[in-house]
Amino acid sequence: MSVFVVYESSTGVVVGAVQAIGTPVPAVDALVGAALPVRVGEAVLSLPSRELAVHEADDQPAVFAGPLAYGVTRPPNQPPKPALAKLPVLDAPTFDETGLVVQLPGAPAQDTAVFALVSEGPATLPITGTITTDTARVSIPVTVSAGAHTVLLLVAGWAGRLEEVEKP
Amino acid sequence: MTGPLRPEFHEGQVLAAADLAATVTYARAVAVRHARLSHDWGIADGLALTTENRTDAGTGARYVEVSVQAGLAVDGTGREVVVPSPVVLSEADFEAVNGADRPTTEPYPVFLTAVDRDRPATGLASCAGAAGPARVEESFQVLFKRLGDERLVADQQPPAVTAAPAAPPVPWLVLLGFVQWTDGHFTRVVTVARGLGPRYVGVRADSVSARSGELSLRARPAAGEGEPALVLSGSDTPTLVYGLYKGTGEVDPLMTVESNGNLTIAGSFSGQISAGSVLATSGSATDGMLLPLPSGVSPEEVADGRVSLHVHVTPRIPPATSGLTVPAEATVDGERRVRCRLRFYDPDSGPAVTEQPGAVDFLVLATVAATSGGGRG
Repeated sequence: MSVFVVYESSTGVVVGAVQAIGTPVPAVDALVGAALPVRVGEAVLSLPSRELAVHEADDQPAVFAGPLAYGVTRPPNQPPKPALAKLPVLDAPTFDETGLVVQLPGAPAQDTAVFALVSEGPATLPITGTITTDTARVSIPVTVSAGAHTVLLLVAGWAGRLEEVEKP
Repeated sequence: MTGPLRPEFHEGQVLAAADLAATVTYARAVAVRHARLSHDWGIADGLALTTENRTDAGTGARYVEVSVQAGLAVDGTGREVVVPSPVVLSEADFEAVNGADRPTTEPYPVFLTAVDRDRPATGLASCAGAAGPARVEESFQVLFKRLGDERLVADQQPPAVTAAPAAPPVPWLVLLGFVQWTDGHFTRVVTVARGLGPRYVGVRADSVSARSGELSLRARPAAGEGEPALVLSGSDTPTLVYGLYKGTGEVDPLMTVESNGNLTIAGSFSGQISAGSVLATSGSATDGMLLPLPSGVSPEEVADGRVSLHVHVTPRIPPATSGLTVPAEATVDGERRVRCRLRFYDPDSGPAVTEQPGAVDFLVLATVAATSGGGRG
């Protein structure tokens, strides 16, 4: 029985999974509708389906316990690998004066895509950035009020994070 | 309005040429009415466009010589058009019509039409002298037309019910196929272009019966191996069989309906679910995902109430080496979207209770309510 995982297109990080008997590979809209709601407590972030893709992966029951810990491996000019990759854990993001700061343990071997959703009141702000090979961090510009904000952080090659982040 | 006039003769009658001609005209009129009104016009046999490879002696360019094979068509007036032997298409005739066109790879239509050709009498000469030909050859002509003229075929209107065979015949275009033209030669034959191709004769009948007790329908004139067939058999055990021809000429059944209504199929069944039946799917899904529908059920059928869903979800509690995990929420909303949160408490980590999105195991049953019509309309 295959697992259909939904992942964010730019980073490959899995954000949801469905396993069903006798179901052909569905379109992403059939799995999430117009957007995938990502919840922390009472806060809900809305991840639009246009940012998502579907992959039929090997059966890996652990993906249901924590989908954000898995990623789809996409070799250049090849279809995604059937097996999902278990991703390493990244430090929590922070806010500085200008935006959301994402810090890697070291400079990446290749440019690394970053996608994040930030709550601002009832709204969800999608932001994107890239961590280039000459640095280990990026501050993605976003204007939010002071206080706690729910953040979904997806970085290519790293486990996704979903948590509240305090804006000073 | 006068109906068909059948010639009658009596002893001592002086026969004029018109009387003799009337016997022929009457028989021809019967034949064309039957062909025109009991059948759909088109190619009955042969008339394929075929090619032979050739090389231009001057330029060395390769091209094809195109021929119309022998055959028979019945045009929309009911007139038979017979091509008795293969005919090579004339490049000069084509060039006279389309030679001024800019070079193109678009294929040009080739038509067949009926023509009458006078032939001299072979018997004794009349004492009154020659008043006209004593024989008419019901011949044919191959016509080249302009690009796009294949659409003219659909505009042709058949004559009235009582119309007698016209002399000369009413021009009626029977599309044979298409040719490509490059540097003064035909280079290719195409059967279908721009969505149009040759049409073939049909039959208009409200009932078709077999003398042998077995009626077969097949997609081609010959029963070729692997070709589909539908066989209605009226033997001691009546059956309706759909299958494919084997090399022996027998039909290998893929679907059989027996006289008692039993249906046997060799493949799998899919399609609309019948009233009262239940389809199911099960599996697992993470928080926020839409539960899939059983195969054969569409979201529209659920939305308009033709199909009812019964959903059962159970939270998946991940194994933990310490602490306590309990479900805070495990349900499905009206969109079939999973809402699952798990609550974690680990006294070794501190007094805080945390919540995270979780996953559920699900069972979705789709049922179709029985209606008086027996289906789901």
